[in-house]
This record gives sequence, structure tokens and C-alpha cells, in this order.
Amino acid sequence: MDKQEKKNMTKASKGDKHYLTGKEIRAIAKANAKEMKALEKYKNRKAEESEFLTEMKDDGNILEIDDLHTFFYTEQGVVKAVNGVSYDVPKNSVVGVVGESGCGKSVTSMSVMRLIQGPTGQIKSGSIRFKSREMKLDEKGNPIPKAGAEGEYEMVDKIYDIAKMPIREIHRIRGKQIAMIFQEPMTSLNPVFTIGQQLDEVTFIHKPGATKEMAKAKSMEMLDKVGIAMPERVYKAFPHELSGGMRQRVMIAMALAADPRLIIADEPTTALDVTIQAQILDLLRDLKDKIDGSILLITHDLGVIAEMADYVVVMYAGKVIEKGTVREIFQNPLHPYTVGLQKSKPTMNLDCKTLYNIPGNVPNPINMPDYCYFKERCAKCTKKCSGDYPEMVQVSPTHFVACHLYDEENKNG
Amino acid sequence: MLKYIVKRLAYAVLILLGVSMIIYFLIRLMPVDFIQSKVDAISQSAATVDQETVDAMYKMFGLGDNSFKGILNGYFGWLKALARFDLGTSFVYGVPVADKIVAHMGTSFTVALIATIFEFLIAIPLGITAATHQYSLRDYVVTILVMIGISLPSFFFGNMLKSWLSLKLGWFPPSGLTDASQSYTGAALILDYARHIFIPILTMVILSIGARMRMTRTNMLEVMNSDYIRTARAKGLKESVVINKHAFRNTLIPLVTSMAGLLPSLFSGAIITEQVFDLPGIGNIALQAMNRGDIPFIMGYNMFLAALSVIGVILADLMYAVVDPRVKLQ
Amino acid sequence: MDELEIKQDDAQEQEVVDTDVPLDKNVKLMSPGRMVARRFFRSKLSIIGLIMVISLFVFSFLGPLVYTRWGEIELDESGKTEYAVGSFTHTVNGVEYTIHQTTETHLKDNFLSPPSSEHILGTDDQGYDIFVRLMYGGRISLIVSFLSVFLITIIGVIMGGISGYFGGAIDNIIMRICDILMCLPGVPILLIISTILDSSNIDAKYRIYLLMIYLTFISWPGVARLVRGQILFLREQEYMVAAEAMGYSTSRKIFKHLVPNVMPQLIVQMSLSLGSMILYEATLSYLNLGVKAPYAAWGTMINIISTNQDILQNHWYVWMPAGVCIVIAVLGFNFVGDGLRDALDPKARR
Repeated sequence: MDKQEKKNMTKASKGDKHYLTGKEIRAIAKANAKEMKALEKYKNRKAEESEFLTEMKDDGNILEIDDLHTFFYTEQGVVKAVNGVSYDVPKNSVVGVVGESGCGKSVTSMSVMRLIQGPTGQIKSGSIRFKSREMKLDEKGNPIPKAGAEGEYEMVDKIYDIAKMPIREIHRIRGKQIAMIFQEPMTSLNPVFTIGQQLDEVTFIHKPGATKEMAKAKSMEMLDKVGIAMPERVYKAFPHELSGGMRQRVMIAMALAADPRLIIADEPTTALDVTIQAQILDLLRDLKDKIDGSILLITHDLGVIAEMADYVVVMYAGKVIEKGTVREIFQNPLHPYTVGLQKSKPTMNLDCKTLYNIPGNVPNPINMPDYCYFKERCAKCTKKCSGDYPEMVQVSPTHFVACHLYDEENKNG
Repeated sequence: MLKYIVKRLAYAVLILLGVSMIIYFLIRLMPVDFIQSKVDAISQSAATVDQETVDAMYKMFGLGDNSFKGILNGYFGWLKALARFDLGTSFVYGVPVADKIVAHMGTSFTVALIATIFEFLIAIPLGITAATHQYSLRDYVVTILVMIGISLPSFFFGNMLKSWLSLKLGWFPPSGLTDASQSYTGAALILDYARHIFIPILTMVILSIGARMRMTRTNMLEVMNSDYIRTARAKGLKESVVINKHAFRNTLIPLVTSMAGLLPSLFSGAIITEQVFDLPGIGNIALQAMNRGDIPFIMGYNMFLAALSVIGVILADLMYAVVDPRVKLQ
Repeated sequence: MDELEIKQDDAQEQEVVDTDVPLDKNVKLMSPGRMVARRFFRSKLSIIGLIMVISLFVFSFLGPLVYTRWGEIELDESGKTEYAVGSFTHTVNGVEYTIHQTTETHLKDNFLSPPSSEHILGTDDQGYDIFVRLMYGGRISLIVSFLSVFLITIIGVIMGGISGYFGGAIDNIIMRICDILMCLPGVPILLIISTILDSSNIDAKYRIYLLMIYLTFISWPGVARLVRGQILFLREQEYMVAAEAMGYSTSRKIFKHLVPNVMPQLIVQMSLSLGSMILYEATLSYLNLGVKAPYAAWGTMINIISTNQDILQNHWYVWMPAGVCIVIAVLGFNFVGDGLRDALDPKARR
């Protein structure tokens, strides 16, 4: 924690309710400006590849997020949107991230893509290790064709630390290695280019020497793959001529076009109406088996997670509070928040009069308390909860939880 | 498409009718003896006005009959003449107003066109850098310069440049379009023109650049914050491509639209700038005519301007439909 | 299940009582008004603009009360002596003589006197004190522009409000009137009106007000369109539908919901049009249509250089100060308007 923040906090705890004073505001602005300038500079620096090459902790993973901190430097203080998040995405799996709105799940995924809007939003620290599959280059920097296979090249795995990559290098990862499907299909396509132009573009960027015909063929194949009935017509259409569901299919096609290793689907169905939601989910589930890669699925819908995910990460107020396999999380939820989430989901066969809701609200993201963030809303609080923020505890080889209830269990048992 | 244009043209005619009514009403506010005294003043100083011209003017506007019917008749008589592009005969210049306007339109158009081209060439890149480097030093410097440019009155700034660049330093001639003491031909003549219109163009560019730059910056900022720019980045496009292809193409929509709307106004002449540098453009000619009470010229010039701005609105609409695929003309 | 939940709720309440006041609740979120004021005053440009505008007000309205040495139309009749130096040659009996001659002319008015302790900024070509005339010119500019912007806003809000709220035929008629007015030329028509004013022998002092009435007349459509657009936009918003569903009266809907939403844009628009109205007034006076001699206006004070190149070239103190005043006024209002725009923009992130 910065000195500055501490000062603010002590000042705040002394007095009664007050507005931020002019002095405090200036202090915040000054500290922010300094911090942002340094981080912007780091982001825009030039660096040798060796600076951001790293090693995976577990070779079975393609993405390892390790103690990631992404902060927003606002005029009222630092918002710690992602505050020490760690989770892994194993090869060829679907990882679901759940949590209520504002818990930092989208910010985490945006951090992976390095799409956080600067200068206010910055990755403060932590690492995002990603196993990238790239063409092997000879000494001259040209790709080496694979013997026996036309148009294919020798591939090699490279592990990048995305958080340390300068922003100018990030195009190596985006689109080609990690693709993203966004929440708003209505506004996520450029209104002045046709679907075809926007789809072809992906092939042009990522396939060296691609011709117009190749790009079009690939785009048509993708449109077909995502279940668009008349690809030829859609190819020539402008985004505004398509419905929301169609646009989301196009977005998915665009994400698939460069055969990425990881697809991040950031609440892909939230903005669509229910029947279309089901179709898009079916499509994603279908694709899950067809593609050679993993999916990171971000949603607040537990049902979607239960259906699709292999692993689940539960986030709350910028931290991971529980993670495990889908079976573990759904059959043996440990953290009181996870329990609450599941209870608040309407089900047909449970007989209860009112739907459960978790009492209280998420704490203000500025000046987070240093005890467990869920304490004020938690029904199972103990004395220990007023102490430090709970550590991640391993309950089974794959199941982790951050709650004091299970510390004690561990110690006792 | 055709149907739309026809509809817009019909609509333009309606607007012009409204404008003409207001302008006609204004001229009827003038007492006839005052008009007569103006005519007398002109005929004393210049031999261009004869009784025939004056009578023609009276007949054209139906002056003298102040009954309701007389005013109506006068208005429709004038409209009929307008429909034949007959704007009357200028008292001061002694030629048909329409001919005089056409004769001086070229100078105004050339100066305004060059100024507008420079304006866009300078303002658009500046606006884009200011937007893509929001809150940076570059952004602030550009913004302040732009604000100063917007706030300068053209007559003051024009005269300042004139007193400095031509009177003090003597680099450029202070006024006029040609050097009367020389008889240049060919390339030398063009060079002479260029020397004369340099400061007027400089004045116009500096004064107009601000608004255009601010427009570019605002639009660019809006576009840069939109979801499809995020998509373009997520695709793996380099930042330069994101800005110059995806963002710029969208920023272009309002810019091109405004450019089309500007086109007709290039013909109307910049009254103040032309006056300061004494350029024989349509604005300066009109100002001189009006200062001397040349009523047919004032009326003709005003209708000419109104027609130009109506055409500008239509052109802007059409252009909007061309550059923005979301807009369908109907 | 139900029982369990009640127990949980109890426990929850107890827990809350037990804990200290959570840290983040000490700092209240800022009210929107404070936020706007803070954002406005954080921008250096807005502060500079505000200082410029306020100092011009003080200069124009309090200045003449404090500095009473000269009046607006008071000639400095202290007299002026001009010397013209000439020399010519004269040949007498083959010998060439050069004769130097100095002509001394005594004039009644002390005109074109350079800045001195007597005249802070010198005198103009008639012998009026420039510094004092700047103050009076400022009065005219500020009064005229405030009046017309006020009128433009009132008419615009009323017409735009009627148009947007009632829609249909009324909307159509008002919008067509706007179209017509927007196609009317500005300065050229003012030339006609100026001729009309000449014909009706109106006091030179009031001409400019009448001309500004015309400007108001052709300028309100801008505000009306803004207000109408906002109202149409807001009417589609969910909270207006909600207000409708709550059975709010029309006036409550307008004054509680629509007006506060239009206000920010209106304020920005007003401060920016103050600048453009000052420019307009100055231009009119420069073209000798607005305030006419002997009364002072900034534009009128610059007008002299359009006919007298000697003053343009050699007597900067006659025209420069007025120009600088115009720039300060327009720049000041533009800075304030820009600052307000940024401060009032709810989407602004910094």
C-alpha cells in the first residue's frame, strides 16, 4: 500500500463523514499523476524480447495469471479493480469466471488482452504468463515451411509475460494467440466497414502472404462454422443490417478466424435476449470441442458456468475467493459468498418462498478494508475475520478457498 | 435516391420562399423618399445610374404602392424576376447584378478554396494527434492555440498581419490582387497573384483552423472510446492502423459532411477579409455597393447567399448518406 | 430453510453493530454540483478565462467611475503643435543653396498623441482618450452581448421546448421557421437593416441594440434545436417513461426532469455564444454599422485603420488596444465555456 493511501485512510478514520478536502484531492491527484506517468512510460517503452520471455509454472497451462493488480487512478483515489488475482487456464479447457458486476472479472480479462484504457487504468504489478504458439523463424527472420505440408510452417512455443510486454509488442498476442468476444455485439463492429472487410482483416494481419481470395475463403468458412445460413450475404452486409445474435456470431467468427489458442468470451450473452442467448451458448459449447484451444468464459450466470466450464473461478471485490473444478464448486461450495451465490439462483425443484439474496453491498473499491472484504455481508463471521485478509487455502489438489473458516479447519485437522 | 433529391429540392424552394419574404419585407421598411435620395447621391458621384435603371428597380420591387395589394404584387413581381435569374441592374456598377456577381465569384472562390484546403490539411492531423494524445502537453498546446485562433476577430488579425508582413517587413503587397504598375504575363502573373493573396489566405486559414480542429478532436475522441475500436485493437491491429483506418474512417463522416456543406459558401466571399486586403472578390464588391446604397445589389447578393446556404444543407445531407452506410436516403 | 435465514440475518445485524465504522464510509461521495465546481476550477484555462472576464467587467463598469480624467466623448483640446520638416535646393547665380524649412502648425485638438502620463494609451485621430474609450467600448460590448444571449436563450428554450414537447404540426412549423432563419445571411442583411436605420434617424447610441435584435432573431434556432433535440432524446429515456408511469404532472416532468438535463448544455452554449456575440458586435462596429462616432466601441476604434494606412503603420496605440480587448473578451468567454463543457460532461473520466 502506498504511503499516500495510508495517509488518506488515517485522515478519514479520524473525522466524521466529510467530503474529500481540497488538500486531499490535490494529494491524490499528485500521487496518481506520478504513478500513472511511470506506468505509462513502462507501457510505452521499447524492450528486447528477452525482457518479457518467461517460463510456465505448470506446463499443462496455457495461461497463468499470477498475483495480478490492475488499478484505476481516479480523482477520488485508487480503485483496485483487480487486487492480487491468480488463476490458471489449462490447455484445451473451459475456465469460467463468475462474480457480481464490478468484481473485476472483466478487468482481469482486459488486462490479459492489455486493453485497459490508459492513462487512468494501469496494470500495477503481477504477471500474466501465456504460452504462445508461433511460427519458427530462421536466422533471417523468415518462417520455415513444414516439410510435406503445403502452406504450413514449423511452430514453436514461446512463453510471454503479457503484463511486462511493451504495448507496441502486444499485437503478437492479440487476435492471433488470444481472441476476445465482447459483451456488446451491437457496438463492437465498426459501422463503416462490411462484415467481410472486418473478417478478412484478421486473416490479413495474422497469415503472412494471405491473398484476398484466401482471406475471403477463410472468412466464409468461419461464417459457416458459426452457423450463419447465408454467409455470402452476411459477408457483404454492413453491421447495422444484422440482428444482435447475428452480430455476436460474426464476432465469434472473427475471434476464431486466426485459430487462437485462447478465446476470452466476456459475458457474450448478456446483451442478447433469452432465446438468442441459448443459441449463442449452444454455439460456444459446440465450438469448445471443435477448436484446438481453451476458452475463458466470463459471466455472472452460474447456469452457463455449470453447463460449459471445466474449472470455475469465483471472484469478489477484485480478488479470487474460491476456485476449483466445476464439480467441486457446485457440489461443495466452501466460501460463504459462493454458497450465497448458489442459493440466490432460482431453481425449480427447491421449495422456498423467497429467493435468497446476499445481504449488503460490495464495499467501496477505494480504501478497501484490510480485513476480509466479505466480512460485513457474511453470516458466518468469527473473531478472526476482523484480522488480516484470509490467505488462499488449498482444500483439495484443485480446490482453493480464501476464508478464515477453513484456515482453522486446516490447523485443527 | 432520386426521389429524395427531388423532395429536398422542393423543400429548398420552400425555404428560399421564406427567406425571400423576409428580405422583401426588409426593403419595404425603407421609405421611398429615402431610396430616392440614395439614388440621387449615387447618380451624382457616378454616371452609371440613369433614370431607366431606377425605374426598372421601382418596377421590379413594386415600390411606391404601400397598400397590401401593392406589396403583394410587388413581392410576386420580384419573385418572377428572381425565377428568371434576373436580379436587376446595379446602381453603382451599372451592370446586371447577376453578371457582376459571376464576374467576381472567381477571385473569392480561388482564395476561399485554397484557404479551405489548407485548413483541412492542417486541422485534421492536428485534431487527430490532440485526440490520440489526450491530456498530453501536445493536446494542451494545440487546444490553446486553437482557442486563440477562434477568438481573433478577422478584421483585427488581418490588419495585424498586414501591418507586420507587408507594411513593416515589406514581404508582401498590402492590398489588391495585382500589381497595377507592372504588366506581368504567364508564370510571373500567377506569382504576382500568389503574392497578393498570401496574407488573406494566411488570415483565413489561421482563423478557421481552430473550429475545424476542435471538431476533429471531439469526433476522434468519441470514436476512440467506442467499442469497435476496442475490437480492432483486440484483433491484433497495430495502433497506427487502428487510428488511421478504423478510427479515422469514422471521424471522416462529420468532416466530409461539413466539407460538402462548405462548398457553396466558398462562392459567397469573405466580406471582412476581402475588405481588409481590398481584394476584388464578391464580398468586397458587395460591401462597397451596400455602403453606397445599391439596393438591387444588396437584394441580389442576399438571395444569392441564401440560395448557397440552402444548397449547402442539401449537399451535406447527400454527402452524409454517401460516407455513412447506416444512413439511407428516403 | 426460512428459519435458518432469519437466524443469519440476526447474526448479520449483530456483526455490523460490533464492527467499527467501515473506513470507506467516512468519505462521502461528492455531490454533482461540487464535482462540477471542482472540475471547473482544476482546469487552469477556465480560471484564466474567468479572470479575463471578471477583469474586463471591472475595467469597463468600474473603470469610468475611478478614472474620471477624460470622458467618452471629451476631446483633448489642449492643442497640438505639428512640425513639418522640409528642404529644397535653390540655385542663385550658379551657387546651389539648400534651404531647410520647418513648418509649425498649431491645431486645436491634441490628436494622435502617443501614450503619456496625460493619456495612458494616447489619443486617437480625433483627440479622444483611447484608454477611457476602451472602457466605454467594453460596456457596450458586454451589455449588448449579454442582452442578446439572454434573449436568444429565452426564445430558444421556449420555442425548442414547445416544439419538442408537443411535436406534431407545431414541431413541424417551428422547425421549418428555424430552417428559414438559419439560411438568412448574417452581415449582408445587417447592411440592409443598417440602411433602414439610417433612413429612420435613430440615435447613434441605440443602433447597435436594434442590430443585435436582428442577430437574436436569426440566432435562436440554434438553441431551439438543442433544446428540442435534448427533449426528444430524454423523452425516449427510461426514467421519463418511469415518470410517466408514476403519474407525474406535465410541469413536474418538465421542470424536475427535463430542465435539469438540458441546463448543462445550455449553460455551455450560452457562454460560448457570449464570445461570438462580442465578435459580431465588434465586426458590425468595424464595418461602421453598429456604434457610430462619436460613441466608442472596440470595433469602431479599429475602423479607422481601414481608411487610414498611416495609423495602421505608425500609430499602433490607436487600434491595437481595442483589438486586444476584443481578443481577451472572446477568449475569456471561450475558455470559461470550454471549462464548463468539460466540467459538466458526465462522461468525463478525469
